[in-house]
Amino acid sequence: MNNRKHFSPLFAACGLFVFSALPMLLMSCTASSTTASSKEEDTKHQGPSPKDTSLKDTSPKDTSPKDTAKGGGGGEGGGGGATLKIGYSDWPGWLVLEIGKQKGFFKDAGVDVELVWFGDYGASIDAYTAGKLDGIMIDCASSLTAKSSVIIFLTDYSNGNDMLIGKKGVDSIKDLKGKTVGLEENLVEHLLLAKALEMNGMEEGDVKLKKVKTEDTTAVLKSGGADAIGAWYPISGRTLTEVADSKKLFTSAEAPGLIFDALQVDPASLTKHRDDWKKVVGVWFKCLEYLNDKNTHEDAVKIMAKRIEAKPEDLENNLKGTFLLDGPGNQKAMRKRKTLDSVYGSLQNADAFYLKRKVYDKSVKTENMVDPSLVEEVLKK
Amino acid sequence: MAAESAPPNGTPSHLPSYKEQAPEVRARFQRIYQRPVVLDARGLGKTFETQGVPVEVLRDLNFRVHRREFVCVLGQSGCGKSTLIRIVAGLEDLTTGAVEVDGKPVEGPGPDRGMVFQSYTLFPWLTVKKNVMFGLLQKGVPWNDAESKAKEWVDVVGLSKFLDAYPYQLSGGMKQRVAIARALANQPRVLLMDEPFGALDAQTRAQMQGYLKQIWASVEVTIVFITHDLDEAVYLADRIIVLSAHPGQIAEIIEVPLPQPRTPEVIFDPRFIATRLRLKEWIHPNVHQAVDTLPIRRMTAAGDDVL
Amino acid sequence: MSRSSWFAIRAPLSSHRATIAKCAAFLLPLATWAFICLVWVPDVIITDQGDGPYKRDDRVPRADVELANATLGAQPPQFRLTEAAWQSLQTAGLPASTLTKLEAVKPTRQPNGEFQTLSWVDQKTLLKDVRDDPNEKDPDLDPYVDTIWNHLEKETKQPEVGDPSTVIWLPSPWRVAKAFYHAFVVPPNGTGYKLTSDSIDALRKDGLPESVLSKLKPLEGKLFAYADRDKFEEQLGAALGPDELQHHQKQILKRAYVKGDPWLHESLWHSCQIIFWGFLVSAVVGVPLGILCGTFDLFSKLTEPFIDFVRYMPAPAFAVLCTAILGINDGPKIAIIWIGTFFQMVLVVANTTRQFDPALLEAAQTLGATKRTLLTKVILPGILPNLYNDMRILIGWAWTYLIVAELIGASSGISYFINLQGRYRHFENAYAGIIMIGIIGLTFDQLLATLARFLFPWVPRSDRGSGAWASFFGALAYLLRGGRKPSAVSDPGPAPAFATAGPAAAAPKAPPP
Repeated sequence: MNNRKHFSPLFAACGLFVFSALPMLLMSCTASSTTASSKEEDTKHQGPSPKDTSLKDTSPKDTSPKDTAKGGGGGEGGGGGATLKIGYSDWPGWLVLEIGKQKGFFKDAGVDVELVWFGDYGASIDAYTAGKLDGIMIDCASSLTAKSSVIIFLTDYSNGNDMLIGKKGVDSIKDLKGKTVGLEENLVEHLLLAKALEMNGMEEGDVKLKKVKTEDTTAVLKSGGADAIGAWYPISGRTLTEVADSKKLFTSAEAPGLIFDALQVDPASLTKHRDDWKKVVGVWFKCLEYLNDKNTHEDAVKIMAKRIEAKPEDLENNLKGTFLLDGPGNQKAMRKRKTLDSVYGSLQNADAFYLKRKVYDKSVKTENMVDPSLVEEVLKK
Repeated sequence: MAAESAPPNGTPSHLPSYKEQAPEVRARFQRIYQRPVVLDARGLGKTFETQGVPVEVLRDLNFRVHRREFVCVLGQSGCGKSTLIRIVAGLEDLTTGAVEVDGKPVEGPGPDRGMVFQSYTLFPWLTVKKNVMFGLLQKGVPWNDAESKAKEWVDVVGLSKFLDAYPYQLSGGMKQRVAIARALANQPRVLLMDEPFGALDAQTRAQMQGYLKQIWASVEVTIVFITHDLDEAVYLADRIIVLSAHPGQIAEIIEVPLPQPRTPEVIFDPRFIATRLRLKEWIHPNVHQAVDTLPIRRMTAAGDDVL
Repeated sequence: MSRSSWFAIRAPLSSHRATIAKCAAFLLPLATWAFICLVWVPDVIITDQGDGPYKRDDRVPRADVELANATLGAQPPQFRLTEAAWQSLQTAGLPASTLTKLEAVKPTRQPNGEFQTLSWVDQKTLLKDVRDDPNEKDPDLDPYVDTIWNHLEKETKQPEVGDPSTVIWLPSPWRVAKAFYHAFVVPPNGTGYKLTSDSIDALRKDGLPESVLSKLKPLEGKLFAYADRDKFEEQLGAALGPDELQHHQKQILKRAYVKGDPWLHESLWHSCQIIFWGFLVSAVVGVPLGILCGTFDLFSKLTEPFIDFVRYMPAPAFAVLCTAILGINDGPKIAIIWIGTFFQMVLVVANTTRQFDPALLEAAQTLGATKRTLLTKVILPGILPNLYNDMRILIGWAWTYLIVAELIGASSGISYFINLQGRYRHFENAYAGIIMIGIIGLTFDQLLATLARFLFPWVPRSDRGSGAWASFFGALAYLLRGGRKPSAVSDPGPAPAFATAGPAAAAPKAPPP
């Protein structure tokens, strides 16, 4: 037996281990050194941080003289015709864009937009996060946990069409103490629940959460699997009809501004195709006009109802639960305020919610998520 | 009854006829035929249906096996000897004729006809001891009695040291010994053995033949033994039933003209050789053809010393 | 061909080479993964959001970040109402009505102590935002706008800063390892300590004196997060005094513990239980039915054609049906596992039973076995090792249905965790979750394999364990031994020769009648 063979298995195994472990050690060392150099809130740099060697340091050489009110500027500017993929799902505020699709408003405006329909709201967010969509119709709160995006216009704020529904025997939010509520965790109805509890002097720990997909909430309430559920119209509409003796416990009408909905866009896409996105903003206003014009209102409602396979009368009755925002409405809601009448305030509130729920541990700079300049430019014309 | 006759044609002149028997041998056979008949086959025939075509495998077999006899069934491959023994065991049905054990017709397998197969059929999940106890427990013998009986039988086959071993730990010969013990533990009227030593190498086979003879000598058992090995048949058996093939029929029932017990040296006995030659005529006729020379060019550089 | 080559055909490797290869089986993929993550870093992981739109920890293609920074660089400076600015405004001599109006834009303190602030580029927009009516001059604000403006902090727009990073869907192994650790260590939401009236009642029943309980009353209703346990104990200490605290601390902590979301190990355990029950319900009917089908042709022809048809129906398609029938708790999940495994199980078990050596059946018959004993004492024990292996494979199958099953009804367990983390783009958590499931499945399977050696001592062991864990520990043991082979197992001794050739000398006595 060769004696030299005794240490070679040990040697070989160590070699392999080192080969795989060394990169790991190296990486964690370098990673920690760069993060240590960049600090968060209190630094008041007058220029780009000197340690910022990982990115190209582009000095603002090509500042074109532009109105300081506008946020954008240099770079590629309005790009050529590219297809913009916008994901949407079954919320009345977003169905309005369907009018634009059916009536050819997008073609008239000269922009190539593909509206991608999703039956499941969560799936649309996932698709945007996966990079499959350039724009997503989303409630502003949920966008804090999705991939970064910029709000270019608001579609509405929820004025009753987000609600908590209780089963027979549960009459108010206070009745929910110690009971179960079924809803999607950390999504828009969870925010609503937190607000409802706050307004009734209760705490999050007072109710038990059951994680249920919104589309399953009707079945869940029916089978008695939860004492209350959270959903938005049209799912909430179905629940109220199908589950006997169910009633609304709390709706977004009691906290207007809690939930804003918007079209949010990938920042790079926005910079590269700004003109195209501006046209989309214009189409939104045009669709709203079409809806509000009493001559075309019925046709508009029919188009919207068809998309979600609801009866037009049913949608008509529920339209008031979604407070659609036209030009002036958008301008008003896009003022920088910390109160819920402003989307900035609504975003701050959502940020607080996520911090409390420990979805992330550092605040998101929500101020950077809104770009009111497109709305401004469209309305100036 | 064997009749005196001249040696068959082709027998080398220095060998006696296989029908020549010494007086003690003849007397012994007389005594055997006096004993009660344990296995009686009359007109036994079997036809298989394969894909609609009937194939006659056995035709009109008539023979008797007496108590404590050792009978070999010999034949070429495919002559139906396995089928015959399976019919006797009750694992197959016959189509014509009758077969009776102790006067009762055979109606299915049972412990009165113990069987040892060519493939190893020890139950792998049971130890040697439990394997041997199997049949006894089936009969309803209480555990302790069965255990002690099993131990005795394992002792008979000489494997006392392996009572708690599992079959996978045993060699081929040991497994067959346990199989024999297992079958014998039930005290069967007939022990049927279907080429039990076929899968063993020559040396082990010789050993096992020796063990078998010793067991047969000291245990109350009648043995029907199937083989295709001529030497084995002549060495072991009192009588040999020779079957011809397609369909299987009794070609001849040969009384082996050698006294029992036999030692391994008996293979040099002229009567052994004569009997063997006789069997060879039945089993491997026309083996004297010359081997055609093959057209192979000699390519060795070793020179003519090789051949 | 050299027998000591690494590539000798059909010859086993020497033990130390085999050890190296088995180690490499796991270390090589790991090393490749680490290498790719070091070399291929096309994205940037944002560490400082600056004034751009990309959030911290978001992974963005490098070009997009540079574009965003270029845009930021071209923008004019902004004026921010920071907390410091707000504090200085309080003492700037502004009237109370102005300060009241400014409350609408003051910094917001978030639950983690940070501040959300707002900024403007010129006075006009500031006024528009703070006024009640954007277009109407406000006497409380307009005259003072210069003062206010002077207190705001001027900033140039800060760029986004980040580190090179792999693409988001391929987190590096060290991140995944960290996520693994955090997933088990970080307390889930809602877990903490809170004294409620119920917990005080429970403490009363435990025997705590009223004097202590009355001191606890002021603390009632306040929720302390799990991480803030020391703060809770501090408060308890302040309320009770050191003696009483020491005496009752353990009891109070026990009763005040509030359970929030499940811990990860609880989720995993819950998942295991679902698999267990689903599999058990399958096996209770499936195994006997399979054995009957394999033994009796009648059962086979009666049930197998139908089962063969049903097994092609995908289990997830029954999800909605199961929820409607069985509710939203564990019922439909177990049902999905059942649907996925039962039909396969019957067919597999029937096949295994059919493979039982028929020669053994014949041998048993010649030993006097009845039909009943054939089934119970021959077939059943005979197929047991193969049945066990079939069950191992089927449990692995059931595990794959777990992901689907757990998303049905009330989402729970480890697959919910994986999905949620995927939604938040925390893919390292998702990877950690998936790897966790893999490790659990593998370990359990190896445990079963080891158990088999004790359950079925009659099955010959060709080599001493060939599964992943067995290889790993075998290799470890080999290395620790210094490369020597273990001592040879003693073979059963050579077969004893039969005493002598003569029958008399052997003298085995005839058995009793």
